[in-house]
Amino acid sequence: MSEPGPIAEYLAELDARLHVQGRRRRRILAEVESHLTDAADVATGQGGDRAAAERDAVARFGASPAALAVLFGEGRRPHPRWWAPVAAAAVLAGAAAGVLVYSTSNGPAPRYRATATMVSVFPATSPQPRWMRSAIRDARRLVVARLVLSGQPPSLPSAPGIAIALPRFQPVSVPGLDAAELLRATTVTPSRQGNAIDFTVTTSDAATARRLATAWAATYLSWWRLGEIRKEAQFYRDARRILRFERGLSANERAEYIRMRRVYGRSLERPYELSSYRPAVRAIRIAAA
Amino acid sequence: MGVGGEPLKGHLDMLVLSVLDGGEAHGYRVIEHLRAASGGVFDLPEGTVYPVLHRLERAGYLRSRWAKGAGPKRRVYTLTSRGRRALDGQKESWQAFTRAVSAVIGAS
Repeated sequence: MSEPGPIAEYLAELDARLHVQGRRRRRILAEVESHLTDAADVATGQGGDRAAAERDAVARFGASPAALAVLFGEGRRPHPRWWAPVAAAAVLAGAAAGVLVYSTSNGPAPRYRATATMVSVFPATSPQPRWMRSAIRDARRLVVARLVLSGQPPSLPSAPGIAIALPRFQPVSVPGLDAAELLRATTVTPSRQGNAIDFTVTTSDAATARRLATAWAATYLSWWRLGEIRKEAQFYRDARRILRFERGLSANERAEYIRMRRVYGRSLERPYELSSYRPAVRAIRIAAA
Repeated sequence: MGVGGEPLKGHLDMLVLSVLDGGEAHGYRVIEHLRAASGGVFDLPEGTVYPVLHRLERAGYLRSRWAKGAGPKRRVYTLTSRGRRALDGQKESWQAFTRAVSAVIGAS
């Protein structure tokens, strides 16, 4: 009985290592066999030795069976199995041992990273003022991601007598992208520029990354303004109520009334407009991720 | 000078789609075309193209069929309309990126 040739050995090892099943498994094996046999046939047709031709074909094929099996397994969503952690550890160990896994095939598509820098609405008082830490926590939230995609802000409580200039929300339509995915694709970090925050979005094309990063920074600013407006409107409404019913105030209420009267007294009888914030978004950067 | 994996990371999909934009081809032909069209710069191990082709097919960018010729049967791949749109988008992004890099490094 003759020894199996290099192609048969390669295919047997690939067969043992592939972790895809059924038709796809048969197709992979058939396709690789077709490629290797074709290459060996060409060399044999030119007068070469069959075993040497097969060895050359396998060598030119490049990827080891273990590496190829890993690459073919990417993008699958296997059912959870008890041996999955063991298999993952084995793959990592194989990689550490120098298994040839070509990174060329790793990325599902080109990735681009766009960063929009949001300039602080407050003057810089330190390299990383306290507002920035809370803003960074506040900015990277699912509710903001939903706002980026939908442009639909929550409604404000009614505030009679107060004219409110609502901030604008410009929706960014990206087919197939939901808020959870956008949140995963986004990082929010302090900017190297100091008193500013970087919003970085990574997607498969630069234009979309740029639009989303810009929209996220602008949306967060508007979202932040909306919160401030909500607080001011509530405060102003309370002030009017207290002024109207100033008789019978407790000592604390009286003190608060005096404070608010000092702050708002002259304008309480006129509609009050909350539109004083002029934050900015600037400095878009794009890089291949 | 051949270029292996790392510099091509993230761009192989676009290159493979570009090759298939010229007509249907099997894996070996795709690798040959990449090598020839790049003047030997993109000299990849032949086996690395198959996982890419399978992944692009699963994404709907390619379709494939077995073709029987004089030699062993071969799996040939064809660009779909979705793949062509994806290629156009990737080309556009790539050109914008290279323009930006050229502007920064001062290339003419």
